[in-house]
Formats: sequence, C-alpha cells, structure tokens
Amino acid sequence: MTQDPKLSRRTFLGSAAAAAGAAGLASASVAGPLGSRGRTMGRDTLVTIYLRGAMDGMSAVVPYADPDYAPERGDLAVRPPGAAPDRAIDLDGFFGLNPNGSALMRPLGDGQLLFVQASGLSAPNRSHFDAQKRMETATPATVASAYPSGWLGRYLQVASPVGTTGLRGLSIDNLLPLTLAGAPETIPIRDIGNFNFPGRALTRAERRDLLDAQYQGADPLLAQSASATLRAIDLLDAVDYSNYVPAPGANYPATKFGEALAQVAALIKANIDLETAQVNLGGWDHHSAMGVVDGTFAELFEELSAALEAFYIDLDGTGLGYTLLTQTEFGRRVRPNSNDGTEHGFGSCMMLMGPSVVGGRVLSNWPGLAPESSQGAGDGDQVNGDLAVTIDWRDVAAEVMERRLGATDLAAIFPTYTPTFRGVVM
Amino acid sequence: MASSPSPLRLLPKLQPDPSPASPILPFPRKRRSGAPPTQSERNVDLLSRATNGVTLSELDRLNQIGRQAWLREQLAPTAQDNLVLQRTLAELRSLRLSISDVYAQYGPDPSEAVRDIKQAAIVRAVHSDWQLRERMVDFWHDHFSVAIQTSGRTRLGHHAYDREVIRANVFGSFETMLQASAKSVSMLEYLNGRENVSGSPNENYAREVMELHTLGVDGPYTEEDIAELARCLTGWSFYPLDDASQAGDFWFRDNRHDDGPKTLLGLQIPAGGGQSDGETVLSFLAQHPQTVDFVSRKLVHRFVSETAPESAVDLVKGAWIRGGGDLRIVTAVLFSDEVANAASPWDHRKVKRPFQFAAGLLRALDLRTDNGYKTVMFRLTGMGQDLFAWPAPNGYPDSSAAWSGDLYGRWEFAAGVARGNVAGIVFPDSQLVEIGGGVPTTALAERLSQVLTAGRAEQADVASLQAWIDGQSNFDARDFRDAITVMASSPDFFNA
Repeated sequence: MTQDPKLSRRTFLGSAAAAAGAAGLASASVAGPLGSRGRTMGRDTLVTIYLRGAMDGMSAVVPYADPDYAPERGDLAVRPPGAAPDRAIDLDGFFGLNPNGSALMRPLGDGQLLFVQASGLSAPNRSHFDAQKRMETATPATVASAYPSGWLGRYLQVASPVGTTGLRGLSIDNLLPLTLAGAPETIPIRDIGNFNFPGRALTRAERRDLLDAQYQGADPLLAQSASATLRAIDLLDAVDYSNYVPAPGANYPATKFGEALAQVAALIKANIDLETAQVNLGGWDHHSAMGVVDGTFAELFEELSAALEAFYIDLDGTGLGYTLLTQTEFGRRVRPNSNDGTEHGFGSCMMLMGPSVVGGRVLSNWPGLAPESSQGAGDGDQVNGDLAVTIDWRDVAAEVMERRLGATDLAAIFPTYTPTFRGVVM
Repeated sequence: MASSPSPLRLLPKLQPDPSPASPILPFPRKRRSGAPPTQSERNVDLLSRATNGVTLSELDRLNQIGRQAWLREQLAPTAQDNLVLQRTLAELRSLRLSISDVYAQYGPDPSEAVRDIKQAAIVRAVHSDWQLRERMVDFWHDHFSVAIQTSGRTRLGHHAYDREVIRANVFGSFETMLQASAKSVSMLEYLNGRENVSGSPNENYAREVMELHTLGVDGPYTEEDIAELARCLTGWSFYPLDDASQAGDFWFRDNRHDDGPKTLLGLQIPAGGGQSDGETVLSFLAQHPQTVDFVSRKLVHRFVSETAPESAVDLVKGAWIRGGGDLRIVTAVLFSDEVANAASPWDHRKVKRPFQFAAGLLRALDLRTDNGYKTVMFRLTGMGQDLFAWPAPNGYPDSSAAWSGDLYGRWEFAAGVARGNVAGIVFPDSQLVEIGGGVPTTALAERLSQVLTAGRAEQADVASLQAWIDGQSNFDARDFRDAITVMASSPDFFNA
C-alpha cells in the first residue's frame, strides 16, 4: 500500500507528524532510556482485550483533518477540536480523540498508550464470527479447521513457562476465547474473587483431596485440566482478591469489564507469573442510534477508557511489565446508514498500552476517506465504502510477541505471514 | 438447607439392614479394556450414548426388552410423552407460536420467548421418554447451528427453526432438513442469505453450506464453486417478520436473483432457473457421496467414538445410501450392535458436554423443576454451553478435548444441585432416601456409582469415597449430599 502515490500526502501523518508535531505527547515516548520503564528481566504479561461487535475506530480516534471525513460521516462526524466539550481532543493536528475518551489522556501523556489507526485484517470480511475467527486463529481461510487453535494458544504451546504455578493464562469469562484455544495451563475464570472449590465449606478440603486423587488416575486431558483448576483455586486463594485494594486514583468503572480489568491488574501485581489474560468488551455493533458523542457508542467508549486509565494507574510505577492490546474484528462503513448507525466495515483502530509501548501518538499510514465513484469502483481511498486497512494487526501483535514476550517462532503464531515491525514497543 | 439437617440415620430406609430386601443390583464391575462386553455392559453403553444419561429405570426397561426393541421404540416416537414433561412444558407459553404470533406477542426482539425454547430443550433432555430423539435434535442443532444472539430476527425465527426445520426432520430426510434450513428465517438471517443479491453477492451461506452442512471442509469444491453457488442462491429471502399473513415465509425475490447460467461442481445450471437454481444444487449436495461421508463420520464421532475405525463409518454410510438419506435408517444403524462391535465405544467413552452433564445429573437423581429449569439454562452459560448461542456456524465442539478444559463450571453445578442450592431444582431430603435405595451407608458409595454412573465408576474412586463416608462420625443428609457432590464431580461422571 505504501507504493500508492495517493498515500504520499498522508503517510507522514503517521509516525513522523505524531512524533514531531505533537511535541507534548510524543516527547515522553522517546525521552526515557530504552527499557527503563519496563521490567528489565523476564517477559511482559500480555493482556488482550477483544472489543466484540466491531468498534468504529474513526469515532474513537477521529481523523478530523481529513477533508473527506466530515462530509462522508455526515451527522455521525465528531466535530473538530474547539472550545465546546463535545469536540474531539486534538492529538497531533490530524487525529483527535473522542471526548468520551478523555481518561486516556493520562497514559497517552505519559507516552504509554499508542493508537494504531486503519489497522485490522488483511482482507475484508464482514461476518463478525468469521472475522473474529480469522483474527483469533490468525490462520488464513484456506487453512480452515473445525477446531482451530488460537494464536496465543500456539504461543503458549511453544514458549517455555515463566513460572511453575500451573496457571499460565486465563480469560475472565465463562469460556476460553478462540484466541487461547489450545493453550496449556490456561482456564476461563468468571470471577477470581469467587473461584473457590465448590460445595460445603466444612468438607471442602476433604472433598478436594478426594477429587485430586481421582483425577490423577483419569484420562490425561481430564487429569491435566483438573490439576490446573485445583492449582488455580489454591493460587487464587492465596491472592485473596476479595481484599484487593487498587492503587490510589485507580478508579475502575463499576461494570463487569471494569471489574475484570481490576482482577487482571491484581493478578499481575500478585506476581504469580501469569503470562496472558484475556477480557472481552462487547456491544460495539452499532447499526442504529449510534450516539458517537452522547449515546451508546459514547458510553461504551467512556467505560473502556475509564477502565484502561484505572488499569494504567493501578500498575504505574510498580515496575511490573505488561503490554495491553485491544482488538476488534473490523471497523464500520464510512457513511452512516439511514438509522444513524453504521454497517460492518473494514479498517479500525487498535490500542496498545504499557510501560514499554512507544506511545503518546497515533501510528497510521492513513489511507484517506475519498469515496469511490460507485461501490467498489476502486477509484477512491475507501474499499467498498470502508476505511482501508494499511497496518495488518499481526504486525503489531507479532512485534509485541517477539520483543515483549520473547517469542522466537513467529511463524508458529502467525502462519504464512511475515510481519513488518512498526516500532510499537521497545 | 434447613439450619439443623435431619440425620439420615433416623430414616428407616437407610438404616443398616441385616437382610436387605432390595439388594445391590448385579451391575457390571469395572470392565477390563479390550475384553468383550457383557450384555449388561452393552445395555449401559447404549443408554450412555443414546440418552442424556443412564437412569436405573431406563436400564431396567432396556434389560427387559432388549436393545433392538428399545431402539425400535425410540426411533418411532409418538406424540405422547409423560405427564411430568407435559406439565413442565405447558409452562413455556410461547413454544407452539408461529413467527407472526411470536412477533405479535413479544415484539421484534423476543429474547424472553427464546428462553422458552432453551428451557424446553432442557426439560425434554431431562424428562422426555424419547431420549434418542432429543440426542439427535441436539446433534442437528449443532450441524445446522444458528447463533440466536445474531439479531432479533434470528430470535424471532428460532421457534419455527427448532420445530419445523430440526425436530420435524430428525427422523426424516436429510435433504428435507437441508432445504428447510436453507429457506428458514434463522439461516437466511444468520449467514446473510437475505443480503445475497444479484450483482452484490454475499457468499457466507454458500461457503458454510458446503464446508459445514454437506461436503465438509476437505470437500471437492473451490472458491469459484462458492461464488457460483452464491449466485444460484441470490434472491432467497423471507417475508418481513411483521407481515401478519406470511411473516417469515420463504420469499424468492425474482428481481434480486441472478438469472444467468452457472457452472459449479461439474453441474451446468442453465439461465432462467430462478428459485430452482438453489434447490437443484442443495439437492445435489445432499446426495453427494462426500456429504454422506462427511456427515456419517460426524455422527459416528458424536455418538459412537472419536476413534472409530473406518468399518464403523462404512456401516453408517451404507445405511445412508441404502435409505437415500433417511435419517431414521441412518440413526438405527448408528446405534446398532454392528457399529458398536466395530468401534467398541465402551472402551472409548467421551467427556460429556455441559448440556448432557447437567441433564444427566438431573435424570440420575430423578429431580424435578419448579421454574422450568430457567436457572439451569443460565447455569449452562456458566458451564460454557449457552444453548443455541455458539457464535460460529460450526456448532458447539464435539470432542472430549474441547470439553476437558473447564471443569470448574460443572463441578460448581454438581455441588449446587447436590446441596439443593440451584434455584428451581427441587431436591428435598426425602429424595435422598429414594437415591439411597435402602442400602446401608457402608455400601453407599457403590450405590452412588450405580445411580450416577450405572456402576462404571473406578473401584478406587468408589473405595476412596466409601472411606470418606465411613469416616463421618454422624453421617447425615449434608454428608450424603457431599458424597453425591464427589461422585458427580468425579471423572467417572464426566465420562458419558
């Protein structure tokens, strides 16, 4: 895509303009000595947040200076930066942050939050489930399988464990997401504060020992799973989450998602050698009454931002290494539909947060929003009415995996793909 | 639970009895892998695969009439069912409504009415006399999976889908089920068939119908075949769901159909075929040898063994071909002694999925519900199997590996049920007496092995549980419930 002459007027807006132009934001990210903010030894804990339903990246990180943005987005356009509170917060003279994301200004100002705009899958796929599957398995459609493994699942299969606790990964959920399919020593936990061995307290220890012994003689898969579960129960008992107090100023929203992120932070701070944690935040499928600055999108983005800020503050200064990555299956159609909503699109926005993130900026090879003369005519910047993808999400994830988690076999995690590192983490 | 539990030792039936009137039934001991099964072991094995959980009463009946007669009965379900089932289903008021009536009574997004279908599935799995039918319904719902959370339209369509696409054809013709699913609101909405129009094709359904419903992912089709099939299916839609007279009826929209000639899978579809384009290809797919192979294999994997030899698959394929896709004939052979002889399923037991685990536990303990299993429906979500909600079109996984990952949800459910802590499940202390069956506490672990696993629990597991029971100084109802919790949480109960 970089060869496209159309892009030349805009490519600078990505790394260059952000680093140079937005001095206040960008300076932090390049100031400190390499690695000084991160854990110098060991690997980061990777926190993945899947924004299910396809988040509209353009309403989160608004390309207000793109001349096609306001006319194409119509009533759903966020107004450019200005005095009124309903306006975008300027980031770099081209992109602005949705005002409901103001909580993100703190990690952004510290240079520890990065937006990767116009990112996503390599090819359009407008089915939520199919696109999520493509992304979570990181496996091309031609290698479809009924019971695929997830990209993080494969990472944990090939990487040696950091610790010996028996709990390498978890999802704060009822089920493991596809991303973690096949991951060893990884289980879903709905609520780490209530992950006790079930049943009557009086006989808990005795019954636990009975089951422990019974499962040791069971089929290997059941035996391993029982062992992982029982060890996780013991481990989380020791973490004592019910008495967890977040750092001062870390005010998690009182929502399921806020609670889940608080739990992940507590586990990281408990130093239990957790390698990865996954949390979902759904509800982004805004087909009608989208409310970009004062409605349903706005509220959800506010919740997301507040939770991320709390997580950031909770871990700030602890010296604990983590990288947090948000994903979504695709973005939304550029033009709104007739119900003040948006249809399924293509390019969206990822976020990356953590002490080793080269942040405080928007990373983008912005493709532009010039419309095609007709749907799919190929004579504009849009792709079939959608924002194009100019950064494959795997470029971002692969760099994190190699540089922050020590992955040595990227081909196993992202088969048939050679990622281009974009300088997203140190 | 009452604050002071009644010690069971005071209940006459559980008193140690010097000459027990109802002796422990002669259940098979733990079988030696590879040894030829006894008739008794074969009967237990059949029930563990053809029902949602072996119960002693069903086993008793099977022992009396024999496997062939039992299967014949199950393959010809009548409209009759037991009173417990009928009464419980009667509470689920939207069950029999048409799409337009669901719309009229519940509006454009009938989340509440859809719960009736989920609850009915649980009620039937636990209580129906027609257990084999319920097992097959579960399979075909996975095979033609529709995620009802997709939209209000998939929820509106689900009553008809469950009733008229899946249940109506479960012992009928595979092709009829395939064609009905293709024309259903549920599938047209879920896999975007409705949006598949001439000049702007949506290939979602065309891909999945070959990958998942018929030929299988390794089937002999190409990306061009998918594109051509999508063209054949352009214009397939349904009447608006607020249309009082024909809401949700299949609607072939001529003006949205690509009427040019198509070539796919070696078929020539001439121009001007209209609706018949798609029907012709679906019929072709239904009868394709690769479909017979793919679906037979899947059935064997689900109901016989995950490591069945080709000879077992071949028997089912033979039945499929002989009966032209008559699912009654296919199912009869699937559960036949011949297939069992070929695959020895008794040596390759599967891990129960949460649905079968939950239903099996309630069946074994012979419990009732006073809220239509509404709580069980919610608890299934926590166990990872929210009904009709697997997000991808391939249905909930059918592999022991996939369901060995999260034991906690099922452990929690077992403990909750045993302690009487799951709202809507009625489990009074008096029922413990029934479960105890008049055996002394010194034989209670073996009794629980019979009730919950038809006597198949490992001897070491029974012994360790019995040692724990023996160690309780004042064995009471709470202890009894703990013993049930242990047996229902053990690997012995996790295996079907």
